[in-house]
Parts: sequence; C-alpha cells; structure tokens
Amino acid sequence: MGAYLFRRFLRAIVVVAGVSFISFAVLFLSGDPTDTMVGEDWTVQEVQQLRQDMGLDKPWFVQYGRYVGRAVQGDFGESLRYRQPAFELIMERLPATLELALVALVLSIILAFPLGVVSATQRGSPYDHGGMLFALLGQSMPVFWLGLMLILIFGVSLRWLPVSGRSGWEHLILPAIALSTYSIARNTRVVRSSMLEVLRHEYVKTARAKGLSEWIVINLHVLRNSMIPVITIIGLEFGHLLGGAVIVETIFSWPGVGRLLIQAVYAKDFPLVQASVTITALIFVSLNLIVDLMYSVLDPRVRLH
Amino acid sequence: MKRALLCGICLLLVALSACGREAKKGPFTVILSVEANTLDPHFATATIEWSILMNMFDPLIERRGDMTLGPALAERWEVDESKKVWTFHLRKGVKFHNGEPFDAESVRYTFERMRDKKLKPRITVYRRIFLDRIEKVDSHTVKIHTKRPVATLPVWMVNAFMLPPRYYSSTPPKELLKKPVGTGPYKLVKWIKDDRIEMAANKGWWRGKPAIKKVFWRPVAEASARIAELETGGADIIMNISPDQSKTILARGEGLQLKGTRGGRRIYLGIRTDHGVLGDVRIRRALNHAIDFEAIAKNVFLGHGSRMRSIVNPPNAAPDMKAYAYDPRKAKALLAEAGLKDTNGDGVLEINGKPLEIKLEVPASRYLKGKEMSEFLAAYFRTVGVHVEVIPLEWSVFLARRRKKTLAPLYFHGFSSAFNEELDLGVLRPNLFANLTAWRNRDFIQGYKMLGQTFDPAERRRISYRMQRIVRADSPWVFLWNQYDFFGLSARTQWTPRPDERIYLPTIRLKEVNP
Repeated sequence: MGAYLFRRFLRAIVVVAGVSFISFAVLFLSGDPTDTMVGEDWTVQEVQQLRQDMGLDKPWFVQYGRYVGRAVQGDFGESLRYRQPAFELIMERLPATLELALVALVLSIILAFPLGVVSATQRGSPYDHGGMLFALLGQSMPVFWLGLMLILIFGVSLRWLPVSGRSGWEHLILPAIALSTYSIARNTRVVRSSMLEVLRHEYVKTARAKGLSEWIVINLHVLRNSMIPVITIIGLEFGHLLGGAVIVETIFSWPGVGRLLIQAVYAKDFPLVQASVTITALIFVSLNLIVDLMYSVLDPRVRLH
Repeated sequence: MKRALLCGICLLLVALSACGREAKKGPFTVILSVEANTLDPHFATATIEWSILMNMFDPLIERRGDMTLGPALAERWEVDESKKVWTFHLRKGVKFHNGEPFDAESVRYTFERMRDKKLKPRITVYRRIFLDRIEKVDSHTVKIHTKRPVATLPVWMVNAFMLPPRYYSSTPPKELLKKPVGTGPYKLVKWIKDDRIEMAANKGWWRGKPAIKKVFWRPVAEASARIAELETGGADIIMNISPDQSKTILARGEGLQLKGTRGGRRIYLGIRTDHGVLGDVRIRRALNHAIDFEAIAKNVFLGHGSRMRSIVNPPNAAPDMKAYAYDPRKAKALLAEAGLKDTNGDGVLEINGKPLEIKLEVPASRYLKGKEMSEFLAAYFRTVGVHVEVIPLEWSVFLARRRKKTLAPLYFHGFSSAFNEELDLGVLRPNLFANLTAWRNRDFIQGYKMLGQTFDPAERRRISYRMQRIVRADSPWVFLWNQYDFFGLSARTQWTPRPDERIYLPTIRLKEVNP
C-alpha cells in the first residue's frame, strides 16, 4: 500500500508538472501580459522598459525556470494584474467555486441515482424512456446556452431568481442547475447501465430465488455491486465540475476561480494562470487518487499494488 | 407518493415566485463589463478604473461633463514666465476620508510616489509633465517645477488623484488596494473582487453630501446578462451594450432608458504607409472616398453617429474641416491616377500586372461592431476595385501584433481621447507604440513640437488647425467615426453620459418611481 501510494505520488508530480508546462507554453505563445497593461499614449521605449522591469524580455526557459523554482517552494508569484500573491487570490475565490461545484455534485447525485435506478429496474417503461430522453437532452445542451436560457426564463421572464452575482442562496440556484445538468444526465446513464449489467448476474437471480424482497435485492446486492464505475465517474465528476465552472461562473458572474482564470488568460496574467491551472490539476489528481483508494473499500477483491 | 411530489413542486414554485424581483429599490448599482484590476490610482491604466477612482479621489484640476477643465482641489493655478513653474493654490478645509487634512504635503507626496523607483507605479503623469520637483510654498500653495515647458500640464492633472501622505506611506501596498483613501465624494466600504465594489457617500465631502447614499459597482462580462440585470431590477446603469441589444431594453418599456452618447474614441482604419502602394497618398484618399459611412451607421448603429471630421475631438476640432465625402467616382479616378488598372475585366484593379489585394485585421470583439463594420468597408472597397480581405483577430492576438508591429496593411483600431488638441494629434507621432501607420510628415512633426511649447490659446488653435488639415490631406487613416457609447438606465436614474466613458456619481439624480 505504501509503495503504491509513493508510486502514485510520483506520477501525480509528473502530471502536475506537465500540465503547468503546457499551460505556460500555450500562454507564452499567445502573447505578452504587458499588452494589456500599457496605456495607448505609451512610447515604444516605455513599453520596452516595462517588459524589462517584468522580466519578460528574458527567454522562455529562464521565465519558466524562475516560476518552477518558486512554485516548488509554495510561492506561485504575484499576479501581474492585481499585484497580489496569486495563491492568495485563488484561495480567496476557491470557496465560491467549491460551493457551486459541491451543490452541483449533490444535485447530480440525489437526482441521478433515483433516475438511473428507476430506469434500470423498469427498463422499457415510460419512466425509462423519460429518463433517457432527459439524459440525452442534458448531455447535448451546451452549458452556455442552458445558462442563458435559465437567465431568460427564470430571471427575465418569470423574475423568480437573480440572474448574476453571489449574495444569498437564491443566487446559487441557476448556476448550480446549469452546472449540474450535464452531470445529472451522464450519471443517470452510468447508474442505469451499470445496474443493468449487474442485474444480469446469477447471484441476483439467486437472491430473488431465495425469496428476498425486491428492495433488498436492488439496494444490497445490485446497487452496491454497480458502484465501482459510478464512484469513478463521480470522483472525476467533481474535477469536471470545477472545470465546467469556468463557463458557468462567467455567464452568471459568479466570483470563483473559473472566472478568475478566464480573466487571467485574457490579461495574459502568467503567474495567476499558472497558479490556478496547477492548483486545479492538483485537486484533480488528488481526487483521482482518492477514487482509486475507495475501490478497495467498496470491493474487497481489489487490492492496491 | 405522486401527490406528495406534486405538492412539493407546487410549494417550491410558490416559494420561488415569492422571491419575485421588483423594480429597482436597493443600493444604486452600476454594472460594468470588466473588473477593475486595482484601486490604487498610481497603478490604474483602464478607463473603468479611472471611472471608479474619480468617485473616491479628487484631482487638483478636474475634467467636467462638457470635457472642459475646471478647478477641483486647486482653487486656481498659474504658470510663470519661464513656463516651467506652475503655482497651485489649494482648497482649504478639505479632509481625506481618514481625517488627514489635504494640504501642500499631500500634493508633494502624491507626485513623489508616482516616481518611486521601488514601487514602480504604472501612472505616466510625472513623465508626461516632465516633472522636476515639487516645492511647498506654504501649507496651501505648491509649485510644480517641470524640466521643460509643458502646455498640457493641466490636462494631465485630471488623473493625478491626491493621496493622504501619512496613510499611504505607512500602510502596506496590499492593504491600500482594499482600503483606498481619498478626498472624493464616496468612501470604499468593501471590495469583493470579481463580485462587487461597495461605496458609501462621504458626508464630509467638500462639495456637499452626494445625493445617492450607497452604490454598488459590479462586473458582468456577458452583455446579455447585463441587460437581464437591468430588466430584472438588478442594475441602474449598465454599460457596453450594442445598438441591436438595446432594442430589447426599449421594447421592455417599464421606464427603462437607453442613452447613446458620442464618445471621444476615434475609430479608424490604420493604413500602414510603408506597405507597397499604400505609400501613395492618392490611394489612401481613394480609400477614404470609397466608403459611405452614413449608410453603415444606418444599418449597423441604428442611425447613431456620423463620420469623423477630424482626428481632434470637439470642441478643439478645426471648425472648417469637413468629413471625407462618399464619392466612388472620385475614388476610382484617384486609383486610376495612381496607375491602377483593371486589365482583365475581373473587377479587381492591378498594379504591375498583379491584382491589388490588401488584408484588413480587426479585433473581433473589442470595438462596437468592429467586425461587421469591417465587412461593410471591404464591400465598399471592392466596388472601386480594391480587394480587401477581412481577418478577425482575438484582442490579445491583435495587441501582441500591434506591439510587434506585424499587423496587416489595414487595421481596425480606436484611440481614446483626453479632449485636448495636442494629445489628440499625438496619436500620430512616430514614437507612439500603438501608431503603426509609419506616417512621417515633416510639417506635422514640426507642428507637434511647436504645439508642445505654445501656451497662447489662439496660437495653439492656429497650429492645431493646420496640423488637422495636414492629417486630412495626407490621410494616414481611413477616417471612420467617434464611437458611440450606449448605456442602459433604470427608470429612476436621471443621468447624461459623458463623452469620456466615465461615470461620475455626483452628477446622477434619482427620481421617485411609482410602481
């Protein structure tokens, strides 16, 4: 177990380093942060001076090396736009994103499970068709479109809910629905197909044959055994929700990490982009590890080597 | 079970509808399209930031709503014979939000902080005025010594917001971002980044207590979400909306208002005169004659706006200047005169046997309808035989290419304005990094030097009018228009937008709105 963890840890470092390098390279190729910082009345010399002051006249490997050197010591540098430590800025925004992603995840779990179970146990029934239609729609609607539709219907036409910002629980409803719809749809399908797979096994027949109630068969025998793929998906789902938050946060002006990242990309705020991408990658990789560890808890046959 | 579910859904709907949002009543809310990067006046560079800062800080000289200069924290000022020493007589009895008195030391400290080498602020005022030193004459009189005569010094003072020395020198820069302190009409209550800036009226403001007590500034990047906020009572002023989006605001009724104002931003097609045939003034003039701006304005801007007459904004534009007239026949004649011919009858002119094809790069979403307008322009150019290919670029890519001077021979661009003839003309000076025209006219450059050292208003006008005529005649730009800024206003808001895109809260009045 210890050796396994160590190997996984090393692999995680490689992944995070790779992600940080790719994001640096993409940003580096696409422009220079000074472009958004200079005034229109600046002279050629003043622009050059600013680039020098910020160390942007140095070759890319020097800039990247400097960043990595500091990052391993926990210093992600200072945001060029805000002139505040990048790490601190992300930590300021993280609660908003976690709040949104958690609510979306909870929504996804409490809706996808019953929908998936009902669809699987009553295969071919109108419930199943309804559930699968929802899954199809939910997975094919682009999130920005859904977000704008929610704003138009519940914000502008019905005036039930606020359309942007983060001041109270009512502000959370529309973004959480927009963010979770895809995830609910996907999880419904996964739960359904995983259940169907298990339902075919002999031991389910045995359970029924020995006179167990359907409730016990489904909940104790089928559901638990169909959990492995579901747990994998849900674990990674949280990571995806964090990623999806980039779009949802922008549409609903939700002050989270996603929006911070988008603005940092536009402003070519290297340190801030690097820090948010690295931290998001860290979260993703850690979740992955947790999911793998949970397999052995759920299924004693799985041993970690 | 089903009934319980149905009841549950009904209850939820009732609860939600109880949250129904009514016409705007709460704090006055301004919705911006982007977030401020900083609330430190010495690090601000964007219009949005200046807009927010001018409500918390005061300068010595202010730019009023009609774009003329007037006294603010300086009651009056004069320049001596050498034109290098400016004396400012400061207003007495003014206090900063933290209680510190405003005096000569505040002025000295503010300008010294601007050029603090350790701090490296981004403000350029001290460089623009060639600041030498600040001399305190008495507690409420200061002399600003400049290294050379700078006639535009009063204009630069507009963004030199006064800071309290004790507070700014003893507080860590990080704290200053969260708690800026000025003498202005509003105090900062809270800044939740990316969410809102909360301000409260400064009861002790030297001009008297502002009418609106509490103000929120919120950034909302999506234009449709900004409009939704206005429609649902979540905003009193929204900015950066396009004319077609504004239709929905007007259609909604309920007293919502749309205000369009002719801004100072000069939108033009830059012509890189160092690119082949574009060095020929006849071709540049032909391009100017080939376009029918009024028709474009009718189609794209709902009839708002008219063609730019001069690169200098009113009231400093030469009164006798006329905009280029739409005259395709003249354009064709000029092109023929320049030696361009269509020998194979395909409708495209040729030069030295090769068809004349020019690229036009436009930032896709930076300027109001920039891409659409570029397509219209290209169509007009085609009618006179010049094939122009429009290439939309993402703004950051455009900026990078602007810095590296690798933009296409024609580029869609806009310069904001400080509403001063010298600064307006300055956008064509060769060492400006954002000027890619490579246009070098000796008379213009000489005129610009003279203007910088001329203090007599009549003489300044004479020089500037002559320079404006040179620019028109030599046409380093295809002159387009002064961009209109469109704002959406709630029913209770009474406000006339300024041409400089800034929102100055003390000029806004609220009216009682009957439901």
